[in-house]
Amino acid sequence: MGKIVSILKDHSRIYASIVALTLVFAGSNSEINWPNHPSDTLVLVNQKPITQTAVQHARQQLISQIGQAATAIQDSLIIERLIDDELLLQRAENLDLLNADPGIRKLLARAAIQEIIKDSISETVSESQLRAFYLEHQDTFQEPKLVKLEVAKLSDMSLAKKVIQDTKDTSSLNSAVLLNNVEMMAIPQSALPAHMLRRYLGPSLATIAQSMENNQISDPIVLHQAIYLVQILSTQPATPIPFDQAKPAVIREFRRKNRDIALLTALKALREKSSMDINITLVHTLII
Amino acid sequence: MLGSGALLGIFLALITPYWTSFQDQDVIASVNNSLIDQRQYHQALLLFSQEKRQMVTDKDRLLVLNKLIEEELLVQYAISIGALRKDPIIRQRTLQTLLDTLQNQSFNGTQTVQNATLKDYISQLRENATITRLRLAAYADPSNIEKP
Repeated sequence: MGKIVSILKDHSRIYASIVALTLVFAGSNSEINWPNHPSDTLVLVNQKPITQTAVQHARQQLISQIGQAATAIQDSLIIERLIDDELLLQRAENLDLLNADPGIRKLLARAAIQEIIKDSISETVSESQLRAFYLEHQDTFQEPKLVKLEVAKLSDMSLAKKVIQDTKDTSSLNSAVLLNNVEMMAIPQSALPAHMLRRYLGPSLATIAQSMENNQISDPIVLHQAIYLVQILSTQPATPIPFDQAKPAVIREFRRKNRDIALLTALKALREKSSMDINITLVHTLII
Repeated sequence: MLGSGALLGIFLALITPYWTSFQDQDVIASVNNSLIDQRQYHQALLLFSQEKRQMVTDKDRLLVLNKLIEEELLVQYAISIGALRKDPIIRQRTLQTLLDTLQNQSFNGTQTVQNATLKDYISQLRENATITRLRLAAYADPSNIEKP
């Protein structure tokens, strides 16, 4: 008896292992899960898996295309079709179509971006986060500064000086322009925000106009072989939009910033992991 | 003799990626051995300059190159996460492009699919493929399905 107990003790680890293995097999679905393939893999096509999930997706797609008749189609037929598709996809990869077709490349890049930003899209945002963001970005959530102005375009400096003098006398650039038969730039009569000013005047002239005071007349501004005179008729300062009113825009902006950060972070990580060579001479010398 | 052969092999393996990317005068950059060529860069730079309506600067050139590199990284990432197979739009587009390519090749008479139907082509692909069915019980072989 003592001998039996001693043998059992000596081999206790082996017995425990056998029992554990038996439990593992009994508890599993009794199927071998091939390395690196999903557990619901049905077929391997050149080692690429076709899964039960893919079959279900294909069936759903068929239902959306041909209606309930698709429910009667046997799994086996769908699987055979998926095998054909997989073979064609592999052929496309071998022919390097993914890189050769700019349309596919764009779709792939878009899919990558969607994958990268998906967490930031679904993330719930608290009221306090939004309020903090609103306060940090007051410039974004305000009615913009508006400027109402008139601009004359001339080609002669002496005429420009005369128009300035006449404007001072009449207090109106418009009147001075009429007196001297000068061309007035076609700009809307209403007060305009910064981006509209840039559109009508170009960036340089718009920047000058925005820095001017109410009723101020500019000195002659020489730009692109022409002379400009600007008179500011009125300005409305930027006014903050109350949080409750701006909330939808705050949410949009908050999510947009988060998406941008997620994308930049991911691109930085991808860049760090990659191996890269750049022909910098060609970058700077290529003639366009 | 074997030793020097091995050393030569190692040396060639080490210099090959560098050699291939820069011996080719057309190559602007290589990203994980995927090449961005002069044509792609030129096209992107041209588009950029048309939009800018001014002379492109060295800074602009680097910006354009960075965008191309980022696109390449995103494409490689999408492929690595299986977007080709998971995303129905990409899948469909790729299959359609392949079929168009095959058809064009067939018209040009330059490739193997001359006069072959798609069915024949797929049969040929099947013959050359390794198809392993892991869960035979889950579905019947189509050849065993009775046709009405």
